[in-house]
Order: sequence, then structure tokens, then C-alpha cells
Amino acid sequence: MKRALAVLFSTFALLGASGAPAEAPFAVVRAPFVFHFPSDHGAHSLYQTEWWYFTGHLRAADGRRFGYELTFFRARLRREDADEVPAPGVTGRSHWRGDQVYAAHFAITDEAGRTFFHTERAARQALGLGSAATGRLEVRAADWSLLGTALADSARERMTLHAAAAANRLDLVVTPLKPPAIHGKEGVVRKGACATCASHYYSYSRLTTRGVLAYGGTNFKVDGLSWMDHEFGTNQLTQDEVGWDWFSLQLDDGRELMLYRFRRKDGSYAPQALGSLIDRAGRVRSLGAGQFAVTAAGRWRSSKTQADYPSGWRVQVPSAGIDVNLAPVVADQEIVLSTGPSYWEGAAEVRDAKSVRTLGRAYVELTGYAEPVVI
Amino acid sequence: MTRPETALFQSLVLGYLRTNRLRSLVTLLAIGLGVAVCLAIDLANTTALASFSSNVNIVASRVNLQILGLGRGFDERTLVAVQRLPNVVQADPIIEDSVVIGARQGDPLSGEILRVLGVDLLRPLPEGVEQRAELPGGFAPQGSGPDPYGLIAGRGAIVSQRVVDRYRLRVGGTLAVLADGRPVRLRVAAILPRTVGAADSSVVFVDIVTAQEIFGKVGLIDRVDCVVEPARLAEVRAAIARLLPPGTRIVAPGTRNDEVRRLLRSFQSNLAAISYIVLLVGAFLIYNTVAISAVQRRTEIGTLRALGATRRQIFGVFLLEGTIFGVLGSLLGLLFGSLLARFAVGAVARTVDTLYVGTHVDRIVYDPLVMLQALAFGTIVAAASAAAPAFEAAATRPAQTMRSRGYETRMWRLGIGLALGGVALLVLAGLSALLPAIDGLSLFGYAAAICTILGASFCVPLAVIATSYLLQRLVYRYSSSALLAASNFGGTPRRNSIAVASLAIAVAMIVSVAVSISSLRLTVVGWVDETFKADLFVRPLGISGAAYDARLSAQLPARIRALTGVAEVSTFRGISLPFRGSLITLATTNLAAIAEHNWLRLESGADARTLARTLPGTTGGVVSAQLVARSGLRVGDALVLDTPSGKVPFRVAAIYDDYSNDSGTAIVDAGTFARLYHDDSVAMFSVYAKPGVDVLDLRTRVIRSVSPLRLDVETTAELRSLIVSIFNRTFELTQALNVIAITIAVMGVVSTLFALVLERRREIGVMRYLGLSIGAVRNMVLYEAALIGVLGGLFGLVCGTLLGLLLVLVIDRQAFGAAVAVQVPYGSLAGSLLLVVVAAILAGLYPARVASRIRTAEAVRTE
Repeated sequence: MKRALAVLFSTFALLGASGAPAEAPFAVVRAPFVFHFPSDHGAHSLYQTEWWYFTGHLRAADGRRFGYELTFFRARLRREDADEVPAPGVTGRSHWRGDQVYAAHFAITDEAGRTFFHTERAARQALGLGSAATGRLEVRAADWSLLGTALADSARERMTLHAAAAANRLDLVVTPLKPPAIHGKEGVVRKGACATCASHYYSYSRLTTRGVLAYGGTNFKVDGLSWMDHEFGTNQLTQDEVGWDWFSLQLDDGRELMLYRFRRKDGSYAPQALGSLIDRAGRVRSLGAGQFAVTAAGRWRSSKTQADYPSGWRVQVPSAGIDVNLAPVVADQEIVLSTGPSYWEGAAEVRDAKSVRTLGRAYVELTGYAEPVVI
Repeated sequence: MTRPETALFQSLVLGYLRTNRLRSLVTLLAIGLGVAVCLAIDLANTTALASFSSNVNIVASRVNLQILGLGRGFDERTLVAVQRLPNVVQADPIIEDSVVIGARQGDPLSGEILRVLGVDLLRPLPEGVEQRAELPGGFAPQGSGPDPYGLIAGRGAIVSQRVVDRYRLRVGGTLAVLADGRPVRLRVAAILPRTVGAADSSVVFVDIVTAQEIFGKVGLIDRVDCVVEPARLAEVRAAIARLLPPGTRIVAPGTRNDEVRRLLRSFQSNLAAISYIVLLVGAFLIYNTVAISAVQRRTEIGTLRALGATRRQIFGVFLLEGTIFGVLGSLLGLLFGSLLARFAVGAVARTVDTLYVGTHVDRIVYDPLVMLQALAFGTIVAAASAAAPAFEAAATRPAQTMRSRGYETRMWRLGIGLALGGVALLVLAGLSALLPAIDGLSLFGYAAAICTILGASFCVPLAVIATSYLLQRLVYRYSSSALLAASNFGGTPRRNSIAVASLAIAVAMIVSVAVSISSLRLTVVGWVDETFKADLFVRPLGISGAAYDARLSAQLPARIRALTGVAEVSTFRGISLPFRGSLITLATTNLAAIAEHNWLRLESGADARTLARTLPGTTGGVVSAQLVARSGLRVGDALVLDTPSGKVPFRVAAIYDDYSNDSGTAIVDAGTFARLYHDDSVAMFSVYAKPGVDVLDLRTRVIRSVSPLRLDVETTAELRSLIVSIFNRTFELTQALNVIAITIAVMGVVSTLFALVLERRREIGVMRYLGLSIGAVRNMVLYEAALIGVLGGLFGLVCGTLLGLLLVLVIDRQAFGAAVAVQVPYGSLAGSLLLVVVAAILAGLYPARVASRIRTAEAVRTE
């Protein structure tokens, strides 16, 4: 379903371009898929791409508000023995071999200061520099980590997040208030017309969050709400699709809304667009492309990547009585990557379209505007 | 300058220069060549260091700490521990090694060494670190970069355009190289853009997987480049130091450069010293030019002084003349020097690469500071050279200048006075030569050389006057031309003295270098004969440089030992270690065998038999004399070195002579080294054949027995001749500098004679009028030229021999710490004396022709 990728992931462009080998080396998404928790919180390392995505809205004791993003990516490199150059003189097998690589992105939005900080990490599997456990939640990229502890009801997981760079640091404990919300049909989210163009995807749509955020060298005790996505798949987009728009809304009335649509080269959206409406009890109602509307209200142009992003949206789900406007809290929340496709991932306010009353908070992700994303 | 001075300058200098165009041009060329030589050597030295440092700092521009290992590297898990420390932004693992490409069996100089940097090619940049365009991470975004898995598992290599062109490679194709003698096939994954500035073109990037696997370094890394929060540098450094395994060290990124700079310092300063002597020869020419112009314009100066020009003004004008020569000549020198640098850089880099550290020079680093320095230096030398004649010109009293030749009458007295000063300087030189080196540099040795040159030069005027006096009494009966030449020679002692002195210095330079090279060669050849006694020498194909640390399996010698006809195999290995801010070589061999073949030339301490019995298995060692000279260690002292097992004191059991390079070497037993450094590989080994065994046949069997390993196996004779050819190559540059020095000196002779002829125009006209033939006039000038040549040559010979002895007995001795036997190459000295006389006579040809063309009528009209 969503997400922009780091350099490691972008290199899959090459794999796509050179044509997938006759025997696909990766596991591909198939229906039906039944999630088993807590083991499915862990890595699915036979798939090409996987990510654990956290976004959230935090409030410090003094009332200062922050948005944050912390994402861990796993990518499996091509496994094709024909590639190995036959060579005598091999003196052993390096521990740096291995077909898994990890990356992570960390961003903070300071609503009051209207500033935005972001950075990245990457690590190979070698020597435990990067890792993602199978069957349980433990993901590491260099010195950043995501660790889970299953709670009594087994569907829920208490998680600790750690990231630090320069004078900024995030140490959070997040606890789900609802069970995992599984998106799509039969455990599969279709993203495009091709057979593999799909993923397995679930979210914790409402997580109580508490911990410490250091921003610019100042420590803040924070609490708030987070959203977690876990998604994996192989060759998820068609050649024609360049990226996606993704929205997660956490409404004050206890409901959450996830909207996901895939953008094509010509700017139109694939008919596979979908949504999930999660009620107060955690029940998920799937939405088809015809059941919601998202209209861009304005534009924002990046001076760093020259990408032209939509900025501000009207979101309508008539069957759920939702008609709201999303306004980014800071215009520039672009994650600029030195080597991969940059993307926009930002905190937004949710306001009633008519009364302008604040109804909740949202996170929006826009990919493929700076460069096409290939996953 | 005030108005009257401007007028003075115009009348005295510019007018004069216009009428003496040729001489002015010669002077400019001479100072230009002198500055050019200094600049070329400085650029070559700077470039050699810069190209080395570019390879050290290649990976990231903001690296502020480096972790360096010893020899074979250190545990790669250190990286993880470092990476997990707070405030470490990034820690990059690096493997530094080399492969050989294009090597052919039997031609030890055929291969090219490519420096391999094994890095984590999948790593993107951390925040705030500048784009490392030279690394694949920096240029492998969407679509265009190499396939990541191909880089890891497919042995992808990223090579420079030069290497691609030279070895006809293509992206996706195979890159066949030898790693420690093993044939290895890499795949060309990408070509480094030409625009990449930092890396030299011999660098090949591979993933750390490839590097570890082809170099036998699985589990090891050679270096970690760290980017840490600058504000927390000291704290992080201390934290890293706490977790480092023994034998590794955490340093600022410039540390290795500094060590190499110190290692090269002696070699580079010797070259620079020679280049400054060339400039000195040029300085004499400036002195000469200004002095001659002052003498020639003595009448005008007298008139001007009589008209009220002050001494200061006259001094200023002549000083300005010299300075202008300096500026223009130095500018010319910048041009020549930049061209000459192409040659010098190649020669210097080759020597550095062969003897000291691996380096490859792609382009000359035209350091503006070095250029500016050469310009300033040339100008200052010219101004200083002009100061003395300018002062004398200013000191002449109006009345005296009106008397045409009166000025020269004081010469006997002055000549004796100068000669006394000269002798005093020579004594001072002798005293300086007795003083020891300071911090490894023969500073007093250089001072002694300068004193010798100046002292000898000061004796020249007396010799000129005396020669003239004696000759006039000897030859007057035989030839009127010779008599006139002899009288002229002594009649203008100043000019001739300077021509003689500058020629003498050039000759001295040639002679001293010849003495030094022939002595060194004799010593090295003798040492090589003593040291390389085995029948065959085996090392990885294509490796000729001492800087290359090849690692062959420890099983290999055993396999060779098992061959029929092999009596014994000795192994060798040497690694570079930091020692007191510089680098030394820690070498290993099986010391138990040294007594038998007695190949170490022991100077003091225990004898070979005792060493062979007592050293194996202990931390006792034998150190080279130059290490002793550098460190002050004595037999019985402990040489404390870093090892992966902690700091180890190696007891000095004996001192031996080593002329292979001047960096200093300690030899310990192979078993001890393997234990302390966890490394039993060998770099080369020597094979002793049983009596009666056909060595060439044995060689073929050795080569066959190690297949598929590719090794160079040389006979003793081949190895010795290789060493001598490397030795000769090392001195190519010095020889070239000699040629330039002699060229400048010959230009000085031309300039002097030409001035004399012009000055004596009237005189010659009168003599022609009185019946002197054209031929006699020509001969007179040529005789005078020959006199300059002979006297300059003889002086040069004496002064050069003194300098040569100084080089051999003091400077070389201090560099090697061991005695260098003196050998004076009489044949080539006689040859160069002859050459100088012939060159001087040839230099006289044009002035002689001008003299013979002086028309009688015109010349005597004024009389």
C-alpha cells in the first residue's frame, strides 16, 4: 500500500528494468492470506520489500505539539546464482554477504516552530548492523530500533521505538488501543492491474504513546497518539504507476480512516484505490474507489527537489458522514533523500469542511512526485 | 621611486639592457632554469604527498576520526561496537589492499598495481555529509547505478576511465587481476567519472564482501572511517579508544599523511637541496650580470655621481636591475618549471612508489603556494645576488671611476682576503660535518655543503689572478693570443672569477653526485651480493615495490621445500608500522637459518650463530643501522612496537646494515611475528638449491608447483640486476638536474666572454690596427674561454670531491646509519672535466666571432 523508499529500495528499479527472471526469486502476494499474530509482526524475509511505519502526533507537557515519523525498511536483494562470478582464489565467505538490507527514516515536525527535521540510516544484515527477526517484532537499522512485546490478548503488542541523530532523539512506548486492522480483501491489498501488484497490509490505527522526544537538544516528555503500518510484498506497482497518496485520519470521535490510491504517470489514479474505516470497537469496513473522494485544495513546490506536491485536501466519505479538510501543519515536510526518491510525509489537522471545527489529526504521504518509486 | 631615480634607472639600466639584449636574455634564461628546477622538484614532492593523501581521505569528506589497524587488519566486529556508540554519526569499514594487473611472467616491472578499496557499497550518506561523488552510493540513484546484488555477490568493481582504456575493459566485462598472486576475476560494474577529483586512477572500489574474500581477510577490516559529532569529538574518541582491540589506534585523519610525510622527508629534502644548488648556479649569473653591467658603466656611474647622484640612488638602481631580472626570470621559471614538473613528478612518484609507500600520480598538483614560493624565492635570490655588485657600484668614488682600469688594481689584495675567508668557510664546513643529524635530517651536513660551495667560490678570485700572473710569464714566448688571453683573464678578475665559480659549482655538483652515486652503488651492490645469496627468489607476479605487502600462504614454502633439489627455503615478510610519528618496517624471516647462509651484514651485537640459536621464539630482534640512527637504540635496548597482542618490547640483539631504503627496519623471527600478529603469511621467499641442481630447471618446477598461483621466480643474478636497475632509476632525476646546472653554468661563460669582448671593443680594434690577425683575436677569446673552463673544471673537481665526500661520509651515512664505502669514479670525473673545457670553448665561439668582426677603423676612431 504506501511508502517511499531509501536508496536500497530504489535500486529495484534496475531489477524491474532488466526484467524479472523466469523463476521469480521472491515470494509474491497471494490470496487468501491469514495473518497470525504476534508472529506476523515479524519479518517476511522472502518478500522483496517490507516496512514498519510509525507516524504520530505528540504533545509535550508545556503544550507544544510535534509530529513524528519513524520507519524501518527491509529489502531483499536479488538472489540469482548466475550472477556470481566464478573465481578461484576465494579465501572464505565474508560475513558481509547476505541478501537483506535495512534502512530507516526519522522525521520530526515542530508545529509551533514550523520546522522540520529528517534523517536516514541504512545497514546491511552483516554483523547484526541491520536485522529484522522472524516470528516476533525486533527490527534494527544501525543504532535505531523497534522492539515489540506481545500483550496478554496476543493480537496486541507493546512497542518501543528508538531513533537518535544529532541533537534529536525519539524514545517512545506505544500501546495499541485496538486490534490490528487488516486492509483489503482476504488479507490482500491490490495496487494495480498486474498479478503481483499487491501487498499484505495491516495497521494499528490508534496507539497510545508516551516517552521522550529530544528536539534541537531540548528534552520533552511527550504523550499522544500514533499509527503503525506493517506491509510487505514483491513487485507491488505496475510499470505505469509512479507512486501513491496515502492518508491516515485519527478522528476525535474514536474512528480512524485510511485511504490509499495509486497514481499513474499521467496523473490519474488506478481503479484499485481503497480505504478502511475503523470504528470505535476496531471493526474494519473496506471502502472501494467509488466510496470516497479526495480533492487537492492547493499546491506546494519543493525548492530542494523541484517536486510539485498537492497540499491540503478535502476528504469525503459520504457513507460514513465524513466531509473534512486536511491542512498540513507545516508546508515543507518533505523527506529529501540523497540517493533515493524523495517523498512528502507530513502531519495535518482535520477540520470539518463546513464548521471548520477540529475533528482530529492526520498523516499524509505523497510519493512519486520527486521521482517515480519502484517497489 | 622618485623622479630622479626613475631617470637614473632609465638611463643606466634600460638603455644598457637594450644594447645588451643577448646577455640579458641569457641571464633571464639562467635564473628561469634555476627557478624551474626548484619549482619542478617542489611540485613533484607536493604531488607525491598529495596523491598519497587523496587515497587516504578518499571515502568521506567529513571523516574526523580514523581507526587504523596493523598489518593484516583487525576484527570487523569492532565496527559494530563503534557504530553503537552515541554521537557516532557514521562508521565506514574499509579494506585497503592491492591487486596486480597486466603482469607478465619474467618481467618484474610489467604489472601495474591497482589499489583496492573495499567499502560498504550499499551505504547511503548520513545527514550532513557531502555527496561522495567518488563512491557508488553517491552516483547510483535510480536506474543508472550498478546492480547492488551484482556489486556484492558478483564481485563488482568500480574502476577509473584510465584503467578501462588501458586494459580495454567494458562495463559488465571481466577484470582479471592477481591478488597475492592468485588469479581473481572481478566484474566491471561501473566506471568512475573522470571528473571525480579525489581518487587517483589506480584505485578500484569493490564491496567489502569482495575485498574480504579475495584478500583472505574474512572477518577483518583495515580501517574504519568515522564521522562523529564534532562537538563531542574528544569524548567519542576516548570512548572508541576504550573498546579498540590492541594493535589498533584511533587517530585524526591526517595522521597517516604526516607519517608518510616524515618517512619521505629525507628523500625529498635531498632532492630539494640539489634543486637549490642549481638555483645557486643561476644566482651567480645574476651576480655576474649586475657586476659586469656595473663595471661596464663605471664611467657613466662616475659621471652621474659627479653630477650629484647619491650612493643610495646608484645602489637602488642596480638592485632594482637584479630584482627585475629575478621577477622576469622567475616568471619564466614558473613556465619552465610547470613543464619540467611533468618529468620530475613521474620520477619522484616512481621512486616513492618503489621504495616507500604505494602511490600513483595522475595529475600534477599545481599548488599555488608552491608556485608563489618559487617566484618569491627566485626574486629574493636575484635581488640578494645583485646586492653586492650594486653596493660596490655605489661605493665607487667619482674620481676612481674615471680611471679606466684603476679599479682592478686592488684585486690582489682583495683576492687574498677573499681566499682567507674562503678557507675559514671550508674549515667551518669541516666542523659542521662532524655534527650529528637533527631529528633524522642532516641539517649540519647541508650547512657544510653550503659552506664548502661558498668557501671554494671565495678562493676563485685569487686563483684567477694567480693563474693569469703565472701564465703571462709562461706563455709570452709562444703565442701572442695566449699571452693576451692570460693577461685579460687576470685583468678582469671579478667577471672571470664569477664565471669560473659558477662553472665550478655546476661541475662540483656533477662530481659530488657522481662520487655519491658511485659510492652508494658500490656499497649497495656489495650489500646485495652479501644479502641475496639464495639461488631463487620467489614473490607474487608483478610486484616490484617495497611498499607492497603481499601475503602468500604459509603452506607454500613447505610445498617448495618438498621439491627435489631444494636444500632450504627462507621466508620474508615486512609490514609498515607507525613509530615515533613516522613509519618503519617490521620484517620477519626464519632467524634460525641466518647463521648458515650468513646473509645479514651484522655491525654490532651478537654474531649470526648466537642469533640463530637464541632469537627464534623470543621477542628479540635485529635492527637496521638506520633505525638505530633514527631512534638512538643500542644493543640490549627494547624497541616497543604495537601488536595485536598489545605493546611488545622487542629486545635489540644486534644491529645490521641495510641499504634497501632509509626508513629503518627491525627483523624478528617469523614464528614470533606469527604469534604476536596472528599472521603467518609470507611476502616472498628464497630457495637454496642443493649442490649440482640446475637452477633454471628448478625455477620451472617451482612455478609449476604453485599453479594456479602466479609467482615471479628470479635467479640471484636477475634479482641483483633488478635491484641495481631500480637503484639507477632512483637517480635519473638527479642526473637530469646535473645537466641543467651545467647548462646554466655554460650560459654564464657565454655571458662573461661576450661582455668582455664588448668591453674590449676599442682595445681589440687597436690591436687589430697594430697588426693582430683576425685569427689571433678569435684565438685570444677562445683561450680565455678555455682558461675559464679549465680553472672552473679543476675547482669544481676539488670542490665536488669534497662535496661528494660530505654526501657519502656525512649525509648518506646519517641517512642509512651505516657506512657507505667511498668510490671516486675517476674515469667519469676526467670525462666531465674534458666536457666542461670543451663546453667552455664552445661557449667562447660566438663571442670570439663577434670579437673577430670588430672593425678596426670604427674601433680606433675614438683613440
